[in-house]
Amino acid sequence: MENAAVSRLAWAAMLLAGLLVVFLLWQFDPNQAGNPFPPCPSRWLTGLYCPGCGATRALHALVHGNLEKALSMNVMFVFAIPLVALLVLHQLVKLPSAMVLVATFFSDARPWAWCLISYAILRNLPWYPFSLLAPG
Amino acid sequence: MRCPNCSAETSDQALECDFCGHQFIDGAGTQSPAPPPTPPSGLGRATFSASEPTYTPPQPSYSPPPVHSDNPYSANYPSSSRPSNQGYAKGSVPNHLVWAILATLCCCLPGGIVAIVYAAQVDGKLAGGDYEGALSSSNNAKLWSWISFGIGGFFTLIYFIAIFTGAIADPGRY
Repeated sequence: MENAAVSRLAWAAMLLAGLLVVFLLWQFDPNQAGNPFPPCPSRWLTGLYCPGCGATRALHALVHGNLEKALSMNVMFVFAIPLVALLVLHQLVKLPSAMVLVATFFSDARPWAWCLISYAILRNLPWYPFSLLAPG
Repeated sequence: MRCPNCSAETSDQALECDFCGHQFIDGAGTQSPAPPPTPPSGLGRATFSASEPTYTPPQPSYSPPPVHSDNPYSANYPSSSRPSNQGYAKGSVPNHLVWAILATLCCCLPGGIVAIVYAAQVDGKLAGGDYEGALSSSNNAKLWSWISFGIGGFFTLIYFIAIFTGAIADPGRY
């Protein structure tokens, strides 16, 4: 009873947050000057790209149906969206067993740590194959 | 649920096996390895002659389920309550991975990376059989996710205040 209420509240909150983000991304362009989206604090402080840099612009491109531009902004973020959504769902609701198998496969943190840390380093390298990983 | 004594399939709510009468202690899966209290014949008794037909005390509540297969359900339905040093089931200690990923990708702060390294330690230590170490890494992973979300939220708040008061006109597009 109490768990069900908390779960329903979590669903409502996530749905509202998702709709708000989609609405803001539909209305405002993070590529334009003076947009309302906050910049990345670590890029602002250090000048380096973090694993999340370009995520807002990637989401903006996705909301406007431009997958190619989204991938050029933050390729790992685009691939992480469905996986993270699956992991969040796995925590909130009882999933079909096939999806539980996939969620269990991706819930090991060690490959995630390797991918994200090497991504954080590689996308700051200024040479050709790595420069594709930088936003833009 | 499968009876640990005679392997017959019984309902999950059953307190004892419909076929051999084996009693299940605590439907959550901590079946006792003790022999059935009333074996149907002398044949069953003979194999347990070395031990008294009393229940072994339940395992302490913090004792994690051991791994016996790659089945994701093995965490919930272990076939034995005997601890093993072979490593523990994935997910028997939460690694808080989702929050670490979200903190890394959305809050853009090194704290998310720290959280994800601790989350990776949880899985590494579980696989190596270090339950206590996994618990401590799990707590650290949660702590660092919250630190990142806190700093990220604080920064965003400061940013909006600065924009609203006109202190920053255009800080750039990152």
